[in-house]
Formats: sequence, structure tokens, C-alpha cells
Amino acid sequence: MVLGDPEPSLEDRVIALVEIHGADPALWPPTARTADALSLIAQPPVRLSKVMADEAALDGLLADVRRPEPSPELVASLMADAPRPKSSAFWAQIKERLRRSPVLAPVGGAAASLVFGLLLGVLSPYGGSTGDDADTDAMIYAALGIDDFSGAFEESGFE
Amino acid sequence: MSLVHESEEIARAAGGDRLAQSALVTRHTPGIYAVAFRMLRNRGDAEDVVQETFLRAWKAMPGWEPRAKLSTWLHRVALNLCFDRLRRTRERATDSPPEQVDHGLGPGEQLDQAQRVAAIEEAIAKLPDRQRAALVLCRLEGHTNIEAASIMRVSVDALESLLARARRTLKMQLLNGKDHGLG
Repeated sequence: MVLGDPEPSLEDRVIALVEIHGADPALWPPTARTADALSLIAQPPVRLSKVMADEAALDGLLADVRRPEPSPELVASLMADAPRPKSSAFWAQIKERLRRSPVLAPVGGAAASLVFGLLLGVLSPYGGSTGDDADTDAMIYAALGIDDFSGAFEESGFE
Repeated sequence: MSLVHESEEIARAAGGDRLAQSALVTRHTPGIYAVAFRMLRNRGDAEDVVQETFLRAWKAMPGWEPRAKLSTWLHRVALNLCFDRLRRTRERATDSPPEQVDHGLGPGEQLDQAQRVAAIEEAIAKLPDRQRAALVLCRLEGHTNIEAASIMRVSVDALESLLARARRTLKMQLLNGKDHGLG
């Protein structure tokens, strides 16, 4: 049978607390401020009393230490390094919403494709009307794989 | 401030919102600077660390995930930068260790306030780096033991051990057999 370490006494636990966090219970972790610990330090036994006196003296010295303050120049330089607003916040917002939305993302993609296709068609040399019906017909039949549409009609007896 | 509220503020700052950026700088700079100065004891070095910390923060903010408080993240980055600088400084200064000024308090000495504070700061500066960091975060900057442990990436037990050792060393240097310098 193996025996573990004996449970530390309340006084030992409070001494450990005081040596870590100081004599002022306001500086202890909230979970350590139990009723029995607080009542013990209100009327401490001799050993705890000696520890608390030393720790309170150290706390007094540490309380004299002043906090160093950053210069206004440092704060200004931090702000100078900060990212600048985007030139078009409106478009950035639209893009971000499209990117995040599971519904709008495909719709946005389709809309962008449609606009791109229309632009390509208008700007293409074959995109606009030439004003010549024969040219248009030739282009359509060429696209369908029929090289000579007039000949095809003749052979089938349409003329 | 809740993590959600903080995340919204960070998103605005990342998008260039000057008010949000200013709020973050105003809120976090004093604490980070104080820790950096206490670790490095040099204004210029401490300012460099704060500047580098915020540069990293501005870069990280567009993809910020609210897993930890910004304050914890900033302090952790700053503290690691301090540890790096201290390590490099020690590597360079092998032959001639810096001259230490003895501000020890003699028995019964009636030290004035400035001398007393200088002695305390000197004693804190002589602590080993990690003990000093634990003391500065918890005792001088008022972080909870859980926050400080998270900043230093150690367990709460390890942090409390560092704190106890730091206080023991300070008591030996400042109080042992002396009149506490309190007049």
C-alpha cells in the first residue's frame, strides 16, 4: 500500500498563497479567497503572522513602483503603421458578402460570366450585325458545319 | 469586452477604420509598453518591441480568429520579442557583463523615495527573465494568474512557482535583516 503526501493544513495552504500572491487577499485568485482562509488571516497563528508581515512589506515596496508610460510619439507611429482604408469600401463590401454567402456566391459568379460573355460578344469582330444577311447566314451555317448551304438547297430540290 | 465584440472591432481596424485602430492602440499600448520596458529596461528597445508587436498585429488582423483575447496575443508576442532581445544581448556581452549599480538598502538606512524605488527596480531587473515576466504580469500589471500563464504559455502551477521564487528573491535582496527601507 502506498500512502500519498498528507493533505497540507489550512495554515500551510494559506502560507503558500501568501508567498505567491502577497498578503492582501484582494490580490489572490477569487477561488482562493475561501471563508476559512480569510478567517485564518484575520487572526493568524505566529508562523503565518511572520510570513504575512514579510510579504506585506514586499507588497508595500512593489506598490511604490510606477508604471512606465509610452510616449505620444510611439502612439502616433503605431497609428501611422496601421492599415489604410481601401479605396473603394463599397466594392470591397460587395466582394466580401459574395465571397461569404453560400447562395450569393454562385449567383454572383453566373452574373459575372453573363456580363463577361456579353462584353466579349459585343467587342468581337463577329459579334455585331454586319448589315449583310448573307454574311450572317454564312456564319450560322459555318457554325453548324454546313459548308455550302445554297448547294444543299439545290440538291434537295428546294429551288 | 467580449470576444465577439472584440472581433468586430478588429475586423473594422483591419479594414482601415481609424477609430477602431485608435481604440485598440489606446487600450493595449500602455500595458504592452510597460511589460516591454520592465523586461528590457530601455525606452528605445521597449518602443521597438511595441512597434514590432503592432506591425504583426496589423498583419494578422484580416484573418483574425477569436480563439484568444487580443490582449493575450499582443502580450505573448511582445514578451517573446523581449526574450529574443535579452538572449541576443547576452550572447553579445560575453566578456564584459554590464556594470550593476548597487541600490541595496542598508540596515536602518533612511532612503528617500527615489532611492527606494531605484533599489526595487534594480532588484526586479536582476530577477531571472521568466520570474521577472511572471512578477511584472501578475503583480505590476494586474493580470490574473490564468491570463499570465496563458501569455507565458505555461501552466498555472508553473506560473505560481515562478511568482513564489521571484518574491522570495526580492525579499532576500530588499528585506533580509533590514529595515525594509521604509524609514
